[in-house]
Amino acid sequence: MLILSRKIGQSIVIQAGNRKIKLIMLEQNNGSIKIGFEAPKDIKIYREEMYEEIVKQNKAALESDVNRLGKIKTTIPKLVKKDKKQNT
Amino acid sequence: MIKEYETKLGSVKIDTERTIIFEYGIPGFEDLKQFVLLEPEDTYPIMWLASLEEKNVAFPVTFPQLIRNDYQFTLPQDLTEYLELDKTEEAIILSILTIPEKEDEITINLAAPIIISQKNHKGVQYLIESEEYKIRHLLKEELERSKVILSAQKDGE
Repeated sequence: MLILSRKIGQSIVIQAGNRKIKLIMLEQNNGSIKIGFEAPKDIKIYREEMYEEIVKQNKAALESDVNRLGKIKTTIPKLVKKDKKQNT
Repeated sequence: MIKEYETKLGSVKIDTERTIIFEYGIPGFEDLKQFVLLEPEDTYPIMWLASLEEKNVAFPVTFPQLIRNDYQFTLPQDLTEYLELDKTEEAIILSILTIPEKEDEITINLAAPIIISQKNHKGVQYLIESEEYKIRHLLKEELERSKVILSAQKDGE
């Protein structure tokens, strides 16, 4: 693991191929650090624990008990099914 | 072009135009790019976001507004551009359900909705940065909450 020390106001640049991500150390208080990001639009930046939560929940959703659906759907408010638009 | 695919709900014939491309994948399933939204009558309004590449992968999904009737969030501009959305109606917004054996424990993920563009047939799972919406809301509680809001609105009329 590469370890760098940075002060407030300083930055880190990560270059992957021809793409650059810049992390700017903005503020520090009570043991937490505020970081700003500059990155190409298609790069998604997540808090690790949130991303891991989504992964966990997506995997749990796959284990859903298909046989119970009939009963559940009756508890969900009725919805008038619209005619699907024909894509031409 | 109609092609036949094996999905978790059996084999389905799909017009390839209905394929939804998740270029960035779905968290935990980053290698799967091609999905389709299956809407079988017998489970509707629960639908299935089914992988066309991995037949055991299909997420039960539904419209979040049915569960939380005041659900709303704003999509950032980079995402509306990526999905080529000019109006809200061009997007299909879905929430993933987790359905364990006990009915009282069914949860809906309101923090990370699936957003599908009807314009360019691309999809993403988007994380809403809000205290209001969590990865796990009990379906039962949400439905109760929506009922209360609805009856309050009716009383106000």
